Amino acid sequence: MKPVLFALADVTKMILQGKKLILAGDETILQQLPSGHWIGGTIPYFMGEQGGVLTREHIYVTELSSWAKRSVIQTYTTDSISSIFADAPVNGFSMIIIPATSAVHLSFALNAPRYDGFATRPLIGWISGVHLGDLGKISAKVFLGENSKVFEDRAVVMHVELPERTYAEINILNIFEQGSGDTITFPTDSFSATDAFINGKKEDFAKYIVAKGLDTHLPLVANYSGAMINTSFQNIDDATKTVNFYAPVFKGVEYRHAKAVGDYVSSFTSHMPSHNLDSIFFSCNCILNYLYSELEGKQTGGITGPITFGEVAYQLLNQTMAYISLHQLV
Amino acid sequence: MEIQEIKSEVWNGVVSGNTNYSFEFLALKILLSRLRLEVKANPLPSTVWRSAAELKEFFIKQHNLPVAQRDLQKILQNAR
Repeated sequence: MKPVLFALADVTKMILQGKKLILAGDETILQQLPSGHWIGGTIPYFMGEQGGVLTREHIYVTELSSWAKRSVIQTYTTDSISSIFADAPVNGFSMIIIPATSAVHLSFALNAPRYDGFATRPLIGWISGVHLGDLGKISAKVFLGENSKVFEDRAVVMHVELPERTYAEINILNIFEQGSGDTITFPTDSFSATDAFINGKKEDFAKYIVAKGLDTHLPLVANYSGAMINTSFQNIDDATKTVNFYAPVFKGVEYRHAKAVGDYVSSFTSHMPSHNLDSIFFSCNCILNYLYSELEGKQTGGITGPITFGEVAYQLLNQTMAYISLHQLV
Repeated sequence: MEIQEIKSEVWNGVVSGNTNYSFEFLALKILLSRLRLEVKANPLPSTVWRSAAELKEFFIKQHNLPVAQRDLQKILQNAR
């Protein structure tokens, strides 16, 4: 397996050599890097060469120099993020990193499906985060390497143009499927819900979850024309009787609580893509999969990448591995 | 067949959700779900027309991708 986690000195050298890089690492190490053609996001959890690992001393590196024709780095705020698909190159892809819980994170999550040109260009990326022990103490951040700027309120994007006969394809690996239980819909697009329609009947959603004994480690799953898209539970606020999610639920979308999964690693490897894994040049997997399935020290079929506070494959996803591969037109 | 030659009824049928397709292309699955949701919520001819136009534009932009070509063939086969 090719190396993916590097020490500060190694990454510094790559940057000074002028390489185009997408980086993931703890804030304390990313802030020591020199200026260059790179973007980065904060996170200290990874699927590395040796399996799931927590490290503040290494940086996960995705290097694009050998095949990217041209790349442009931009930052986006809540006012500009809606043009992300329109800004993407005609033949290429865009890599986005968004700080968790920032306004641009919430805005992208709720509105991306309605952006101009939605899903017409490949958009992949992740939500940056922090060590779980630092939750509430420090904020997630993104880095704009070109002038060594750090943001907690902007998304950073590398728009990458590919050579003429090369194309990028985005896919997801989601081990969760819809269970056979109730159909759940929601009255509004939101990161939280007090009421839900259970098989069409309005109910107090927090009460419903408790009464049914639903395992909130398992997400709600919607069937998007054959793609299973998760929305993960964050918590139930007993005081306000509100159910909070890590991604929005959307009005009109039909959700079901996921089927229980036995062993995550076995399920993951059985769902692995059948095509050549070498064509995958970036992937990310969810912190909830890392935690609930205790992935530290375990390998997931040779797939590596940052462990994230949300995944982007055109839109925000939860509890899913998103990946992007390169192919040649024949 | 050129995408421009495909009749509007075909695109209208896809976004109206009259037929279930087994599509491969993730972008198409996600986009189509949103378009069908909009048509279901507001089933006026104008919504169907707008959603169908967006789907057609999607295929025009993706026409060189093998996965999009395979999914387009599924739509055309069903329309015959």
